[in-house]
Amino acid sequence: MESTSNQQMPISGPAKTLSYLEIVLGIVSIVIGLSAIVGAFVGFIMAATGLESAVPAFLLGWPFQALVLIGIGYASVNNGRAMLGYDTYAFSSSFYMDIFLIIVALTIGPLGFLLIGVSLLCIILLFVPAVKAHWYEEFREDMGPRTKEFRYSLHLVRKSPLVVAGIIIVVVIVSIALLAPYITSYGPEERTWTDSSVPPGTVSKVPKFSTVTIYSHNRTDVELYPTIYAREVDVGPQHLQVLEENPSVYFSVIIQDAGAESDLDVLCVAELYAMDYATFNASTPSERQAALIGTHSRNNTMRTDITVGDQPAKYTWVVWFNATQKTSTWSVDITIQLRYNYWYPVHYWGTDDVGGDIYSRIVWAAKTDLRISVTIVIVAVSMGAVIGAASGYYGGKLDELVMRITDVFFAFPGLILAMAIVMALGERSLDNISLALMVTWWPVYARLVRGQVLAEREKLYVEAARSVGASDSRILFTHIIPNTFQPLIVQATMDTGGVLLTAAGLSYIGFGPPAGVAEWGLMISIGQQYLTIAPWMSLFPGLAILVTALAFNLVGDGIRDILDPKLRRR
Amino acid sequence: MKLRDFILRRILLAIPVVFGVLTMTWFLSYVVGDPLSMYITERTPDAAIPGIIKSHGFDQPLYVQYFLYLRNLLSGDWGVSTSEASDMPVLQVISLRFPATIELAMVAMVFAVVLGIPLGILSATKKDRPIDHVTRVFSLAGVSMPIFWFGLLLKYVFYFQLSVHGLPALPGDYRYDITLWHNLVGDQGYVPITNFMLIDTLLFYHSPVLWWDAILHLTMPGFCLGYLTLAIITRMMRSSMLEVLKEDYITLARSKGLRERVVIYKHALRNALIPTVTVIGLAFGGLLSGAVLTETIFSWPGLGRWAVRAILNSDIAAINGFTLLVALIYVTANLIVDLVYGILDPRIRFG
Amino acid sequence: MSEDYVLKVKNLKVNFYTYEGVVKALDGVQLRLKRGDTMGIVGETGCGKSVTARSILRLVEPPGRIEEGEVLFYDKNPETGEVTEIDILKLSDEEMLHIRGNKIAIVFQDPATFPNPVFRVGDQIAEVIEIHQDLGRDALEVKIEELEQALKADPPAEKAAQIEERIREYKAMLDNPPEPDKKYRKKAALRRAIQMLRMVKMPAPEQIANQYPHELSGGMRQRALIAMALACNPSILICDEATTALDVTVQAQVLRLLNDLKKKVGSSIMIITHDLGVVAETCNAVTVMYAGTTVEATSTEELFNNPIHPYTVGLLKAVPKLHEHKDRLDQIRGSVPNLITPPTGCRFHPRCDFATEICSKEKPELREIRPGHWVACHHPQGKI
Repeated sequence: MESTSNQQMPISGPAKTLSYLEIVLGIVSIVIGLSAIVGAFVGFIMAATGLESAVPAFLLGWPFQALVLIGIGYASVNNGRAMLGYDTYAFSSSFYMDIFLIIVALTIGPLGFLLIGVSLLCIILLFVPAVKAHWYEEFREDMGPRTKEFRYSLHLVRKSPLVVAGIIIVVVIVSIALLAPYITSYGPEERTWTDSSVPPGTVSKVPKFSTVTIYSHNRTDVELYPTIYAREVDVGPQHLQVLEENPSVYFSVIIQDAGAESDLDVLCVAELYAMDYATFNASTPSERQAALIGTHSRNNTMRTDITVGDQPAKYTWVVWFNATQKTSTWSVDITIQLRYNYWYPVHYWGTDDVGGDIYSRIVWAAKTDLRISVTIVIVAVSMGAVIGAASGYYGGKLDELVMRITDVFFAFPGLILAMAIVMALGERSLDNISLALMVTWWPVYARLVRGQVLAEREKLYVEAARSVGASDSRILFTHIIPNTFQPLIVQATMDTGGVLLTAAGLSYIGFGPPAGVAEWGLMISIGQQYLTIAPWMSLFPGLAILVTALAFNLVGDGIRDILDPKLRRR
Repeated sequence: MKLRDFILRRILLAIPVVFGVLTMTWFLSYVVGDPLSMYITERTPDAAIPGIIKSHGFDQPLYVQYFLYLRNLLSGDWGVSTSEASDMPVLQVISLRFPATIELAMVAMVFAVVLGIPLGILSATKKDRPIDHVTRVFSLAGVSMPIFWFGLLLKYVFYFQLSVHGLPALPGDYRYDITLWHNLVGDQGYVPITNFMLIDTLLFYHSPVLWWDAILHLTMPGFCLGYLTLAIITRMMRSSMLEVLKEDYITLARSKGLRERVVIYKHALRNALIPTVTVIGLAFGGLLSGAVLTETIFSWPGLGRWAVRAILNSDIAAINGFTLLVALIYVTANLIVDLVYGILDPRIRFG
Repeated sequence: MSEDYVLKVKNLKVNFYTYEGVVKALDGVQLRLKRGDTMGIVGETGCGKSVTARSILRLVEPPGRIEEGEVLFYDKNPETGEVTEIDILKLSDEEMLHIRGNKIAIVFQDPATFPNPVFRVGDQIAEVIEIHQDLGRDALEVKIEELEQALKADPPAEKAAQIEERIREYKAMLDNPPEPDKKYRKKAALRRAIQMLRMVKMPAPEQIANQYPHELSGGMRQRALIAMALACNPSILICDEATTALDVTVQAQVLRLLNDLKKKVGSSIMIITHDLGVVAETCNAVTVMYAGTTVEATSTEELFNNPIHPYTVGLLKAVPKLHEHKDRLDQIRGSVPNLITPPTGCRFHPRCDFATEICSKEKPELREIRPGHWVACHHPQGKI
C-alpha cells in the first residue's frame, strides 16, 4: 500500500531531527549494551582472579538486556538512515522500536532512564504534525482492521468474568506491592524476637519506643535575653498506649560558638507547663507557676527529660537564656522531642520462627517476586522474539542451528537447568536466579515467534510488499511482528505466573537468597520445619503465590480464548 | 508403507539431539570440573586407578578420550556417583531410582488423564456457563499452585491432621512402610527385584497387604504431581474440543440425524484427542524426568532428588548420567507421541 | 391442495445476534417444493439461501435463531400413500433426529472440510444407514453371503451339510427377518454403503469405502457426500451449493448424477446455487431470493422466458449470452444491502429502476400473478 504522494515529500525540520535522534539513540543503545557486556566480562575475570571488582554497579546484572539493546540499537541506526532516505515505513518501524526499547530499558536500572528519555522524545517527535504527515496515514490504514479487532477484543474481555477477575487481582497485587511501605507495620527483615512463631492475630507483647521531633533549629545569630522559645505539644491517645512509662518531652539545647569572649556563660532554662499555648500566653506569671510541671537549667549545654501526665492534653514548653554578659552573640542548636511507648502492631498472619511478621513480609516479598518475574519475562520475550524472528524469517542454516539449540534446551527439565546455571554462576542469589531463568525461558519464545513468522512469511502480502521493494526489516517490523503479538502476549502473561512458581521453587530448594530475605518461596521453606506446630508460616506465602500466579493465568488463558480466531464470533 | 518411513525419519532427526547432549555433557565435565572424578572417587582403591586411567584414555589426547567416552557409555560405564550413601555406579543408581519415578509418574498420569479428559469435554460443551468457569479456575489453579506448597498442604491435612484426630491417615513419606515390611518379611526389609513396588509385592512377595501399603504411599505424591498435569490436559482438551466443534464435519454429523451425544463423543472427541495425546505424551516425558519438588516433599527415592543432590555436590558423573537419561527420555517421548499422532490422524500417516 | 407439495416454508424469519447488531438474515421467506421436482434456489451470495436450507433442518446455530415461521413437511408413507403434515419448527429435538438424514438430507458445499477426516468413507456412510434404517433383511443377506463364501472354500462334507442347512434356514426368514445383532448390523450397513457408492457411480466402491476422505479427489468426495445424503432414501434432498467448489466438468457430472438418482430414489431436490446455468440445466422449478426474501417463484421455462420481478429481469439481463454482441455488460446498479439496517419496505427498492414511494413503505406480498408464477413486487415487469 505505497502512497506515492508521501514518497517525494522532502525530509526537513523536525523529521530530520528525528532521524538523527534515532541514529543517536541507536548508537547510545549500542554503546550502553557493549559497556554492559564488557563490564560483565571484566567483572567475571576480576572475580576469577580474586581482584576487587571495579566495575560500577549500574553496569552489572543485565547481560541479556544488553544483547537486546545492541541489536535494537543497530536496527535503530539503520532505521534512522532509512528515514533520511524518504522511507515512510521507517517511521512506523521506529514507533515500534522505541516502545520496545522503553520496555526493555525499564528493567535495566538507572542507565535505562537515559534510554527511556531519548526514546520518549523520539515518540513525541513522531507525533509532531510535520513528522506525522510522513507516516501516520499509512499506519492508520494498515492498523485499521486491527483496531477494530482490538476493540472487539476489549468488548469480549468485558464479557468474560474470569479475565476481569484476573485483571482485578493482578492490579490489586501490584498496588499492594507498590504500596508496601504504607500498608505494612513492619519492615521486610524486621524481627521481634519475643514474638517468634505466634499464631495469626496475636498482639505483640513488646512495647516499642518512638521519638517524634516536634521542634528543631540551628541559628547563628541569637539575641540577648529575653529570648524565649515556646511552642505547644499535643499529647494524644496514640502516645498513651503503653503506660508503664508516661510519655516525656525531651530537650536538647546546645550553645555553640559563644563568641570572642571565652568566658561567656549562657544559662539555658527549659520549662514545661500543663496548659495549651493560647492559655499560656494569656495567663499571669502566678497562673503559669501553678501549671509548671518541670524545669531544668544548665550552663551552655542541656539535655533533659520532663515527663508528662497519662491523659491526653496539650502542654507548652519554654526554653530561654540568660548570659553573664549582655553584649554577646552566640548560636544555639535546639531539638525538642516527644518520646513515648506503643505496642507493636498486631501480627495479622502470625510470625515466623525469628519473629518476622508474616503479613508484612509477604507484602514486601510481593515487590521482589513480581519485579523479578516481570523482568525475566520481558527479557526472555525480547531475546526469544528477536532470535526466533530472525531464525524464522531468514531460514536456512541459521534456522537449523536455532532449532537444534532450542531442542537441546527443551530436553532439559526447566528446574534442573536453572539450578545448574545458578550453580555455574557461583553465588546463590535472586539475581542469579533471574539470569538462570532468563536463559531457561527464552527458547519458548524463540520457537513461538519462529512458528508465527514462518506462517506469516508464506502469506501473499509479504510477497506483495517485497515486490514493491520493501526492505526485510521493514517487512519484519511493520507487518510480521505485529501479527505475532497475539500468541506472544498470551504466552508471556501465563509465563509470568510460571516464572514466579519456578523462582519460588528455586528459592525453596535453597538456590535463592539467604534466609531472612522476604521471598515467598524462601518463606515456605523456612516454615516447613514448623508445619505441624505453626502451619501459618508456610500457608500464607503459598497462598500468595497461588493467588498471584492464578491471576496471571486467568488473564492469559482468558485472553487466549478471546484472541483465538477460531473461537471468535462476530 | 509410509508409516515406517515416517518413524525412521523421526529417529534420524532425534539422533543429532542426543549427540548434542552427549557432547555437551562430556565437554562440560572438562570445563566445570575434573573429568577424572567421574570414574575415580575417594573410595576407589589405589590399585585400580591406573587401570581406570588407561581404559578411559586419560593419558591420551582429547579426541581419543571422546571416542572412549562414547564407547564406554555404550558398554554401560557411566561413571560413579558420589551422591548416594556409598559410591555407586551411575547406571546402578538409575536402575534403583528410575522405577520409583516411573511408578509415581504413572499414577500421576492415570489420575490426570482419567479426570482431565472428561473435565475438558465438559468444559468445552458447556462453554461460558458456570460449570465451565469453575472447571477452568480449578484447572488453572493446578498450574498456578506451587507444587511444593501443595504437597505440604496435603501432608498437613491428610497425614498430620487426620492422625492427630485419630482418623486413618495417608502416609506421607517414602514408598512403603518400613516397620510393616520388617514385621511381615523380616529384618532385611524390601529387597527390590524389579523395583516396581506394585509388581514386586504381588508377583514376588505374594502379599496383597504390602501391595495396598504401596498404593497408599503412592496416593498423595501421585495426586500432588498429577494435579499439575491434570490442569494441562484439561486445558488442552477444552481448547481442542472447542476448535473441533466449530468444524464443518460436526454440522454434517448433526445433519445426518445423529444424537448430540454421538456427535460429541464419536465425531468431535476422536479429532480433539489428537493434539491432546501429544500433550499427554510430552507431559509424561516431563514427569519421568524427575519431579524434583514432589520427591523432596514426600521423601520419594526417585531421580529428581538424586539430581538435586548431585548438583549440590558437583557430582559430575551423576549430573552427566542424569542429563543423558533425560535427553533419551525426551527423545523417546517425542518419538512415541509422533507415532501415536500418526496412528490417530490418517492424514499424517499418508502424507 | 390440488398440487402435491412435499415442503412448504411460510414466512420464515431468522435473526443473527452479532457484536455489530442484529442481522435480519431471513425476513419472511416463502418456499414451495412440489413432490418430484428439482427446484433451484437462486440469489446472490448473502441473500440467505444457505440459512434457509439449514433452517429447514434446524441446523441454525447460535448466534442465529429462528424467530418465527412455519416449515411444513408432507411426509408420504410409501406403502399406504398417506400424507402427514409435520411442522418441523415445532418438533422436539428427539423427533428432529428422525427427520435429519432420513426424511430430509442435505449435501454441503465444500467436500474438503465436510467429511470427518479420521473416519473411513464407507464407515461414515454406513453410520447414517445404521441409525435410520431397518437392516434386518440386509443382515440376513450378509450372513447368507458369508456362508456361501465358506462353502466355496470347500469344507469337509459334514461341515458343508451344516452350512447348507443354515443357508436354507436363513433364506426362509428373508421375508420376516429378525432383529440383527450389533456386529451384523454394522456389516449390513457397510454393505449398503458400498451399494450407495456404486449408485453414485464411484469406481471401485469397495476400495473407496475403505479409504479416508483426504485420499479422494474433490469430485469423488462430493459423490461420497451425496451417497451419504441419499443413503436413507430421503423425500427431500437439499444441495447447498454442492457443486460450487468443483470444477466445471465434474460439476456437470454431479448434476447429471443427481437427476438420475432422483428418479431411482424418488426424492425431490432443492438445489441452492448462484449459477443460473446450473438452474437452467437441471431444475424444473426456480425460486429467486434477494436479501432474505423470496422475490419470484415459478417453473424454469417460465422464469427464463418471462421474468417478472425487476431483480430477476436484471439478473437474466446480466448473464452474457453467446449470440449477443455487447460493448458493456449489463449490471444491476447498487450493491447488496446491509442486513443489520435493511431497506424499509421492499428490500430491493434502492436498486430498482421502477421503484416508487410505496416500494419503500410497504413490503410486497408474494402473489400468483400468472398461473404457477408467483412474484412479490409492487411494479411487476414482463407479461402478466
